[in-house]
Amino acid sequence: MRTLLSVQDLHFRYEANERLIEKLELELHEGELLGVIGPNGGGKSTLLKLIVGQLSPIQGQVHLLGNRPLAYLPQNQELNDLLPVSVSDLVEMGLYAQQKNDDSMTALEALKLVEMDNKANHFVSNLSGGERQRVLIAKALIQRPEILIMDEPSKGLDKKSMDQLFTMLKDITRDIGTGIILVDHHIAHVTKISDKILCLGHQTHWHDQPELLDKKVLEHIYDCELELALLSSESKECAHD
Amino acid sequence: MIEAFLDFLNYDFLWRALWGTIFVSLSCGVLSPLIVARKYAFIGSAMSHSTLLGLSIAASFFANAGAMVFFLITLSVTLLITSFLAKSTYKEKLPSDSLIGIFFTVTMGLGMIIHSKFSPNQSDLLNYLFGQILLIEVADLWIAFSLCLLCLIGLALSFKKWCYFLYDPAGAELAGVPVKALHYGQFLLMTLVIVSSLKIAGTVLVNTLLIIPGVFALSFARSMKQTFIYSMVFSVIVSAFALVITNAFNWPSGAGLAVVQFVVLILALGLKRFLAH
Repeated sequence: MRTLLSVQDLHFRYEANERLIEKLELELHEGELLGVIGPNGGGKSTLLKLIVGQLSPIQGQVHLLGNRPLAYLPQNQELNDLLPVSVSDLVEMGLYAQQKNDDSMTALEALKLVEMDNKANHFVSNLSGGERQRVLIAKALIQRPEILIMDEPSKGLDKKSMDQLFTMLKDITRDIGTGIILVDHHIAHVTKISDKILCLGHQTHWHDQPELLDKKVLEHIYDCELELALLSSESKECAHD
Repeated sequence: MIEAFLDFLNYDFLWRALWGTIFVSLSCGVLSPLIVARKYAFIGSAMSHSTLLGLSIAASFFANAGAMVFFLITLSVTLLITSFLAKSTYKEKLPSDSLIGIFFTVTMGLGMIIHSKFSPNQSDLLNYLFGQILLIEVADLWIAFSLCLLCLIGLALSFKKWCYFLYDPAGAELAGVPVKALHYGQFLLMTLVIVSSLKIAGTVLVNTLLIIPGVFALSFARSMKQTFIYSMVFSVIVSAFALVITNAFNWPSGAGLAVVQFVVLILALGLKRFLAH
């Protein structure tokens, strides 16, 4: 499989004595889904910002090896619901980019990928949280990016919407070969759909076999006790002292 | 009432007022959706009130220098003041209500002091607070016309960027939309339009022109393009109609614009609600 992203010897910290991201190496291949989990403050969102270029590393390099622009869905993407913007209008906003791809999809094609083409003419303000997230993914996919980077896309979604979202992400990697980096707190879902897992916490762990991430390993990563029920369905992060 | 219409053909000052109102209301119609969508109504009010400082300086020390000098002095002082607001609102949470409140009352107070101490004509202040169409000169029309063109061209050339910026500012920035330039551009256009509207609407009431058309448009439009078109059409037609009413009943022009625009907005919203049932 073609390598789309290569991160080498990455170091980053906000404060002088902080240990946040150290000696991090990673590769993302075509059609691969990389899940990133870990406690709050572990550096998950920071890693994504380093990859998309919003932050500069202290040391190390991020190489984007693909031919097309990457797409990034940040946390808490706030849309102005005062404005009358239709679903297809929002998806077409994804066509505005510094680096344009001549082989972009139409809004309807992108919406079909996320099974929202039947709501192309609806106002975004009338959509549910899950539907809105799907439309934002369609917007991210309209330029056929080789890499899709998502920071907590399941935030605020109910169980059903979350299940649909994660299944859809897996389908996208399989059907159109997009490499996905996914940061999320729902451990059970992330481990279920990811090809490999990066755990960022007080130590960096790599797990190429997500099924081996059992309760004991996860508790070590999160540095606290996790309820078994949380790991099997609606897992969420334990409280940190 | 027909006489009130005919007056506009018979008197030059009314003819000037009509064209001035059309140009200014068209500019306000362009800016209004930007202001309402970004929840900048109170900032717009602060900006319009803070023009009093520049106005007082112009009226006190450049009273006989002509409309263009008057405009430029008022504009320069107001731009200096509003640059603070532009800077403090870029990528920051809005400054607190109390800070904006202090900001515009202090600049307004300072303007009043300068005016009371130095202005040769103490009675002109009320005209600038509530608008006085008798003050409109041909130069004012050229200024209003130029700004109207600037607003229309600024919107048309970057329409998609403005829409993306208004709807999803974080996404727009990630995509490379020049959000900083658009933010400061909006403040610049707002300052230019507010200063050019002072003789028609007055410092206290000009905000009506900047808010009501946007509220109307966002209540009826089904797309971004419609939002701007509805806002401009509402602003021009209702403002021109309001000017005729103010002339017929001899009201101050700013007060007439504010009241008529509000009444038309309420009637439109009421009709919409009635038809929906």
